[in-house]
Amino acid sequence: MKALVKTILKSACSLGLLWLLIVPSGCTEKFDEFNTDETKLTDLTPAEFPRLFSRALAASSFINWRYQYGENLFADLYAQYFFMTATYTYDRYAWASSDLEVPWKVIYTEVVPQLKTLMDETDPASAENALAKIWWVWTFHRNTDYYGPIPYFNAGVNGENVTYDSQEKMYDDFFVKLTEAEAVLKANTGATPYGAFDKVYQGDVSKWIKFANTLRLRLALRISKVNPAKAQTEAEAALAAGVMTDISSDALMAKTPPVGDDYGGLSSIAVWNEFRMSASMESVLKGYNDPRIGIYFQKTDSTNGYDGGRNGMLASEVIVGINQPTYNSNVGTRWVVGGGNDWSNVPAAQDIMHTAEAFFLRAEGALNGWNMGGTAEELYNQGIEASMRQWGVTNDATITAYINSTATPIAPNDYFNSPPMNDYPIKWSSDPVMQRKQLAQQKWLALYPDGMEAWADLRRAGVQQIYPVLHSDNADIKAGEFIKRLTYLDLEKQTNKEGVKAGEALLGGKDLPMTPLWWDKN
Amino acid sequence: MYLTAVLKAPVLSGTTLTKTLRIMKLLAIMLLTACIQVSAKGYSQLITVSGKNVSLEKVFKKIERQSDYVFFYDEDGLQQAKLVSLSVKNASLTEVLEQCFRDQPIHYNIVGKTIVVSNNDASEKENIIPPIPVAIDVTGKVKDEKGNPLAGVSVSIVGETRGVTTDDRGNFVINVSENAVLSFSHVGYKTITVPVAGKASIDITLEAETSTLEDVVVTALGIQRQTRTLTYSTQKVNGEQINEVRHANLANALSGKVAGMVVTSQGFGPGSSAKILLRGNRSIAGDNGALIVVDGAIVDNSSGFNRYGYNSNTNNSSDGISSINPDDVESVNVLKGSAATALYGTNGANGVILITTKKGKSGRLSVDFNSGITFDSPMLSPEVQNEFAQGNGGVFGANSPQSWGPAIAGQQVTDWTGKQTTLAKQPDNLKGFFENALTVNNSVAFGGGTDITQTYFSYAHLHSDGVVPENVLNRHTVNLRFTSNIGKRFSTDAKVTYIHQEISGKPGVGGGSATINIDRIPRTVRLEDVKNYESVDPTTGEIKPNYWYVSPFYGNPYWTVHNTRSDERVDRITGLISGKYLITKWLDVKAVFSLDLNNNKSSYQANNNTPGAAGSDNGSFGYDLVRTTQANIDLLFSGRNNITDDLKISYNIGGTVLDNRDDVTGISARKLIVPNRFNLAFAPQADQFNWNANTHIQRQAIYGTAQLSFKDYLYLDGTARQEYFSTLPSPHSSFYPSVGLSVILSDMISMPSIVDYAKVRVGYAKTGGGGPPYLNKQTYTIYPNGIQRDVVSPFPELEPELTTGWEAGTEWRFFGNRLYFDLTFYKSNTTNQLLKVPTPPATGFASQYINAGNIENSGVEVVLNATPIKKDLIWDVGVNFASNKSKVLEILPGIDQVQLDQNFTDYVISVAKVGGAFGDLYAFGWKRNAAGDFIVAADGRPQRTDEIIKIGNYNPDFTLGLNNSFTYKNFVFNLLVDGRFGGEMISASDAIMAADGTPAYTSPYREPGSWLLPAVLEDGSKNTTPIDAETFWTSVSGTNAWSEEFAYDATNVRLREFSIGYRFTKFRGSFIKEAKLSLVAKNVVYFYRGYAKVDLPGIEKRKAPFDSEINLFNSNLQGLEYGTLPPTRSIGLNLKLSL
Repeated sequence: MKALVKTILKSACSLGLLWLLIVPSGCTEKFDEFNTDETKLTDLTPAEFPRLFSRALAASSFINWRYQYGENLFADLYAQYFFMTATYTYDRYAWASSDLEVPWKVIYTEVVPQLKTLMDETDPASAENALAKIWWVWTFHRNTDYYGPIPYFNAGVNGENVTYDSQEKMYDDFFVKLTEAEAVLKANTGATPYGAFDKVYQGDVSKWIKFANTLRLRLALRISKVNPAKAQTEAEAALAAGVMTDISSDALMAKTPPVGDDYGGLSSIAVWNEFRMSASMESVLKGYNDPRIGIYFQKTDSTNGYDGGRNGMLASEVIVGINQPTYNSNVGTRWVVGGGNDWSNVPAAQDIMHTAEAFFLRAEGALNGWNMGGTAEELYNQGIEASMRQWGVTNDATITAYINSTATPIAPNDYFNSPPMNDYPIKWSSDPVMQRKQLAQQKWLALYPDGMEAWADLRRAGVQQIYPVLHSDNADIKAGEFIKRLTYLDLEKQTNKEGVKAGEALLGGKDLPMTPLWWDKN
Repeated sequence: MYLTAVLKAPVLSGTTLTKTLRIMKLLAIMLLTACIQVSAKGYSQLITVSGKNVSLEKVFKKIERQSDYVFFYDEDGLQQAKLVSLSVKNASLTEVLEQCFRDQPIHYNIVGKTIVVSNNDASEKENIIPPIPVAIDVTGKVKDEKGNPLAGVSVSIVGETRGVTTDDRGNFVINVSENAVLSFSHVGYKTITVPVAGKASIDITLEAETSTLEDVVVTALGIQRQTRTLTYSTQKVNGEQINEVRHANLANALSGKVAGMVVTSQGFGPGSSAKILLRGNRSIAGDNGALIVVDGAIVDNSSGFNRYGYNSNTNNSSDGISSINPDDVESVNVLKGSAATALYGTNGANGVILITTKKGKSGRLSVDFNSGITFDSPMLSPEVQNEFAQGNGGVFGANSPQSWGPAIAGQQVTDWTGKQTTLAKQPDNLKGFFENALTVNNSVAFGGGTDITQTYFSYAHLHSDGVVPENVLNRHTVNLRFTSNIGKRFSTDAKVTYIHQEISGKPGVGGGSATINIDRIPRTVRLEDVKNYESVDPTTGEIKPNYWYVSPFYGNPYWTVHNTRSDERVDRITGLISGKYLITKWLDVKAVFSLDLNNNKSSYQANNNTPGAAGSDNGSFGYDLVRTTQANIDLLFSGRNNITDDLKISYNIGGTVLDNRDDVTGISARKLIVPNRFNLAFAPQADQFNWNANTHIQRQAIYGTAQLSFKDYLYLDGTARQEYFSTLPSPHSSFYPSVGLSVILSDMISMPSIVDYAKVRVGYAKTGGGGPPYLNKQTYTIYPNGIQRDVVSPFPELEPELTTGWEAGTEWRFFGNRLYFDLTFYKSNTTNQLLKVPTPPATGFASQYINAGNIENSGVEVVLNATPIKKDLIWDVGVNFASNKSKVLEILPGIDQVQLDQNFTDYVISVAKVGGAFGDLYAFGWKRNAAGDFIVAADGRPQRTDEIIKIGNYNPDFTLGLNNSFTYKNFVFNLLVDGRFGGEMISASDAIMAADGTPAYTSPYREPGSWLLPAVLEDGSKNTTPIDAETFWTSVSGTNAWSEEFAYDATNVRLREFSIGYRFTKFRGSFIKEAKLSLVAKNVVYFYRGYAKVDLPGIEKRKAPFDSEINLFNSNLQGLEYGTLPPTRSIGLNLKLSL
């Protein structure tokens, strides 16, 4: 009977118009189909996982214009790779909280969902799972080192509030995840996880092992002051497991112009003429007669030389000719075509992590007395060499001459007649205090243009070899002080009130830019 | 009427629409075939009759039906005749008659088309038809009291069932006996009877009905109702009010004529889309635009959003209402409130504009021409200074983009082109860019038919040049409508309209537009030099722009219009087919199917070397192909019964399906293989990009209405609609009821004799707003570099927005219908607003949707029509007044503000904030202390407010329209003055220009240190540091302007339309029946324009340099002008000819 009624109803419905009167309801069976966007996916299958991974990789490195908010207006200026030629306040430590929404949202809504799906849905013993974990750590260590405590363990869990976690707990988890991932990868050396969708190593597990270990080494050094014992254990374990030793295992993320939005971030923003070489870079690179200067930067339009400006200028100082874009060096032609107005076809891969850093990290570990497989001096020199080679400086004599050079930074001949940034020579000093300074300076040079890591290093190493920032527009930072962290977002205070309150408690100080992070013990 | 309330969820299947489409197709073929057969019969005189022992009377009726002959006989006389048995097929008339009259005591004579039956007995002849009347053709014309021809008047013979109706020009022809009596009746007019008395020509003037108003209007779902029975307010605009002073967009033609309607257009020149608001804004997420319905079919009125951001040369596509040919419009009825629109359910909340188009009428063929030509010129341009030259800091700069140079004093300089020249004033270098444009609007309409079938055909061509060089619109509209009455019970209506529109050189608005380019021209740059906008680079051989300063914002406007083009092509077909069948005397059924197919191609291109088009060497281009298909099926049963003599009921029960599909393909390409060949064939594979967007929305509903009327003075109305909407989660349903009551006081109780009519009404209703599609499910987007989960969390609990509204009103007519007054109060609350609110990003989602909030609109509308003089000179005056107040009562617990439209601009944002009104504008301003003193820094510069502050609100406080019409003999004079009062608007163009030092108000204080602002420092001490104009204006203006300084009172009062016509009535012996020649004008003059909101110390009051009816966006971010085209004044001639 029921079936009969159903049949009658169905045929009535098929009769189109008649249903309106005979059947007291609509023919809504197709509504779900109508209400499905044909341009999108609504269900994921494992076949889509490689694409999830490649999107997570791209997003986490701040594609296209996002790079400006993610890195350039903050860490790149704080690391003094660049200074602002626009009259914005960023170079004077002042920003709008909403500026930081861009990177914050990118990490939590464009990276986390993809990585979480991969970590949850793939076999924990698979290389795919391991890569997701490694990338999760890479993404989060950068984010936490901006703010301190952030949502971590519950990131990507939908709810009213998301709890904040302490940096210590996060770092503990970073080491766990990297160790686990490395073990899984070692058991899967024949695998090619994500294949061509792995924009960093194209599924080369052996390189991912080195990457994971080098990252572990980086994190170990990061906590070397707050927890020296754990730092040493982790660093030595990382070294034993195999870190990068050859630039062929450098981590570079491929970009895919001109299709879509996956432009190298630095490339796409460099044509806006809002930043140029810093006086700090000018002082050191010129002083060292550094062969990398022509790779890192272009000669200026006006002076046909390499010129930079000081960080923290007032708007009225910025608008002076000598501080304007045409008088200062733009980033090198690796990122933008000469003349600086086309970048869209430059396939500049993004620098993620290099062998040079591994050597510098080991050199610092050696200074700490750890077993780093070499002396600090050897490792320092190897770091310089790796960096040179990475940027295409391959002449052995040039490299040797540089390593043995006693040159020191020079006065940059800028608007403020600044003195040389410091007097640290290239050649390894016998003075242990100077050794740390030299090491910091060479690592700072080698990390270019990764301002995020460079700023973390400046804070942690505590050498602060860079120029003082000229002016502060931030009431919480006095002139001459170097900023220690970014403050929590207003967006979080509005939408995640409980979470951010707990975060402030975990911070161990007020939510201010001068409150040091957990590992910042200077 | 609440029948639908108990309906349950659906259990049905099948691709309903496709099947229904197939059925409708069949129906169409059947109808068409039927029509053809009927018309064939109508013209042949072959008769088919069969039957045994039938009365002659019956046979005569059959013959009458099959031929155009009529019988004239005396019924008593016919009694003498014998019954006949016939069986003839396709026989001639005489054959049949011979058979009928064989061996009969009567005989026949054919007089013209009349067959006169008389007795064989001559002596009794006079008893039967005393005396033999002669049948004659009577012709005549029916007019109203103003002398306007009345169409559709039914002319019938008293005592007979035959009759004809008058055609469009009031003419009729009827074949009657010379002693017949004719009756003339028409809805809204007193019926009169006139004896023919042998006259061959009878002209009639009908007097309007005064005691009762029999005016009929079209209401929701095409249901025709007598105005007196309505329980809500509607306002009708007649075709004549919109087809003399014609507008390229019909929406603009309604402006100022309807109380409570606010029309704003986007300044893209001809073909610009328009936003039609009725009784304010209700929805934060919705577009708030009124629903457009043409002859019962819902028209897709979307126009898309501005293609690029506000800072680019941007525009959007044409909307649906602009594709309607005003000459085809019979009338427009505006349903404003929920009570009137509840039957539309979802999307009825914003009011409905019901457009009824013309049909053919029975009678001889009529041909109407309407031909107009107008000259359009910019009526407003920014007032510029002519004292200071190009340059900065008082120094001339040949390549400076600004005008802060030295005083113009005939200096010898090398200008930007490299010429040695003398600095001279260029007072017209801005205005001169805009051209006087020509608009030619021609239409022809043919109408005619028989009592059985009627045809209407029209063709219209609109050619309109924009005031910006290179801009041309051409629109062709072809409309064919076929109506028929097959027998007494069945009637059909079929209509097809085809629109082809091309807009070339469609201007953009916003930051990179030609308007902004020319606004920024330095004051001493010669326009002739600028006209030379390109040159060949001697080294590369490439064509390069000639600019005085290279930047997309300071572009050469001629390069912009010639070499960064935007074009649009529209091909739109709308079709409608309907059939109506009278089941019994009191019940009929009507089925309607309509289809709206819209193909729109919007393209844009940038030539090689266009500044700002980075990475697009050799040129770039793109186009969006939008294909919209909207199908609408309605089935409606309408009945009426008299329960008692005093108590009557009428009711409708129906169902509807509306299906809308949108398919968009976007294509772009760059780095062309051969420069400036804007075709995909010239685009390298790697430099082609494309994208797709599809939406499919369907709604189905069943609805019912019932109206009880008591003694024809008390009406109780109820409607109910149960709706199923595909964007809502299962069971997809929502319910919208309404109830209303009206009383005709003047019929219920006795009133003073001056009162002709008095009515009070009250209504309550619930309507809805449907949510957008695809909110219910989690989606993942495909990017070239991977797949990403979308950042807005799915919303499986989506509910429709609900607008609950009541209205109460009263209507009065006095002094023999010479004064009409309608007053309406209303209030509506829109709850369940669809809000997109931020979530903690750490949840993995950036935002989520919720249903919350409450926005209240309340207001008053007054319509006053009067005929103060009604002699040789007839003076009609119509006034409409409306005031709407909106109040944001609630957003969300914890959130008291949302931004309207995410289209962020640097200049202003528009918000709904609890306690404020919908559309409050926020921007930066000049900081003031508690005492209201302006604050400056130690260096004398003004200080900006720390945060954005409320600047005003974009909605007018009230609107007032005043329409005067004078008729004297053959002269007709019309005058429409209207105004919007209150509200604020920001001019980003003005802000940009101020930074450049081009507006006239930037002239004072050019000397360094000449301007001591009467202000205080933060510490309260008096400002002692003088600055100069350049320092001041560059501090407050430019792309980071403090928009408070560029906010203007949006009040404006204008002479919107004006026409003087002369009606040539007598063309003796000519085929021309009537002609009217008119001088027409639009946007003639502003009587008042608002002033800047902030009086800057030492600067004269600044008057708004823009038209506040032209906005940058058509979204909920209104109140911003940025590079929009200047308003145009049109003056021309219009000739209407009727044949």
